[in-house]
Amino acid sequence: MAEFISNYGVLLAEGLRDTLYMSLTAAFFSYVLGLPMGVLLFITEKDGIKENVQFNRVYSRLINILRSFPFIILIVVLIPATRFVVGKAIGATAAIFPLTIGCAPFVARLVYNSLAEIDKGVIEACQCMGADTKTLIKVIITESVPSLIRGISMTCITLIGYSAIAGSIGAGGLGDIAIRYGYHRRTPPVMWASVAIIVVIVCIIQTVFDVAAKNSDKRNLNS
Amino acid sequence: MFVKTKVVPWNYFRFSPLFSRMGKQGFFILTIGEFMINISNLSKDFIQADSTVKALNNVNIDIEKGDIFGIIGISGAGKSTLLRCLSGLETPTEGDIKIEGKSIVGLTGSKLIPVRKQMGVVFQGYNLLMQKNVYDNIAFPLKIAGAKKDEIDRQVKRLLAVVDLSDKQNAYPSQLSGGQKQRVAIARALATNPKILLCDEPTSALDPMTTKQVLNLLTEINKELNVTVVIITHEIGVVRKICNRVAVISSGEVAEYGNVQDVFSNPQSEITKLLLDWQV
Repeated sequence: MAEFISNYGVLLAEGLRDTLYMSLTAAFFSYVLGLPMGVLLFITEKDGIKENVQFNRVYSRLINILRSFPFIILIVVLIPATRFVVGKAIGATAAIFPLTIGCAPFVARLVYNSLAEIDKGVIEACQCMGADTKTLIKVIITESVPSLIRGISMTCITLIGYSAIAGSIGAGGLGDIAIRYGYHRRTPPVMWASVAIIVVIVCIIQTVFDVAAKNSDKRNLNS
Repeated sequence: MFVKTKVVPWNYFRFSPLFSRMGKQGFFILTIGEFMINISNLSKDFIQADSTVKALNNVNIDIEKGDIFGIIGISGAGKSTLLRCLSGLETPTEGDIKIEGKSIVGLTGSKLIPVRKQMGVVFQGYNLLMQKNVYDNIAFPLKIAGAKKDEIDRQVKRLLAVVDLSDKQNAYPSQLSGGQKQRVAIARALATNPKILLCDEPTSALDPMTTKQVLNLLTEINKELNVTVVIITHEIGVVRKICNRVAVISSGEVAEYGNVQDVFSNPQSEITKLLLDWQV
């Protein structure tokens, strides 16, 4: 055990650092892009607060197409764009760009689902008070905070999975280590160690966000 | 403006310049009333895939200032559509709605905002913001209207006292009972000092005791804050208890309307007779 740690400890620690760096940064940028995308999807749908059925139809399909794009292909397709935006195409920082682009449409759908849970009557009540579109969007977002928080945990976990895929083509991180050592070099203990670390971070993220979502929710308080 | 007749008790004549004698019960005087809402030739069609549903058909109703006006009918009669037209949530297909003589039909966006400030709306399902506490719920319309912080504070505290929930200002809606939630919704509707309170089935989800409390509150608001109240309901009892005038709606049309006693003591239309017959 001690030998294992002295041989691979630094490697795994660096892998963990890279995985967290990639997935959390990509999660942040996915929300920067995906939150407005999801809001747009929600407000332009039929009977939405800025109904535009034609736009919504095209836009919704576009999001579906982007979502169905296999991620490993997306990384390859995006290499020139990645080079242009990040300056290089290899490494953890470079991986953030395709991770963000791949994940933003997913976030848009998640955000849409959260917003669609809100009772339409609440929105109507705010319209009756004379709220403009900006205020309505603010209300809808604040009302769906617990559900949005749950969505963030799902995004982070999905991104950890995606970052492992990105790892296989040169992004680094735990996924990269698992494949290189476990598959190419036939050292299963390293692979299992990376998998175990991933399982632990996924559990931690899930728990933290579940608690945060529960604490932010004012709908099920004891009187 | 219009002139109407009113029966007043004997001792009233000292204060009224215009009167003539009428029977033993009192005097018959002429007073000047004002209309709050005029609904004229209002129609609303809902276009569905293969048919058009006439939700409202040529509705004419005048609601006077100070009225507690009941709109009664069975489910699907079009009463909620009527209220949604009044609150600007639906645009009528034809006809006109005037509030204090000014038409509100066709107004959109920023032009609708001053109209909406004159109206508070109370819903059957309360429609409170579940993630905000009672105080912030009542403060919300004031924030939209751009009121200052101390002004908001004063108004919210006053309204909390009106609906008798001062001790609950930090509670969240999920911690309140149905009647309390509806009282918060009423306070919220009153926040911008509206002239009209539109209530869509405000007591349909409440038990008899809380129904009574909410109805008493509405009467109090009508008398003390001088707010014209319009109530949509399917319960005869609600109309009897607090309304002075009523319109009976059936399949999108006004079956009859007038003073509550006249309509209910001498019903003319089939639907009114049925409603009176069905009441529990």
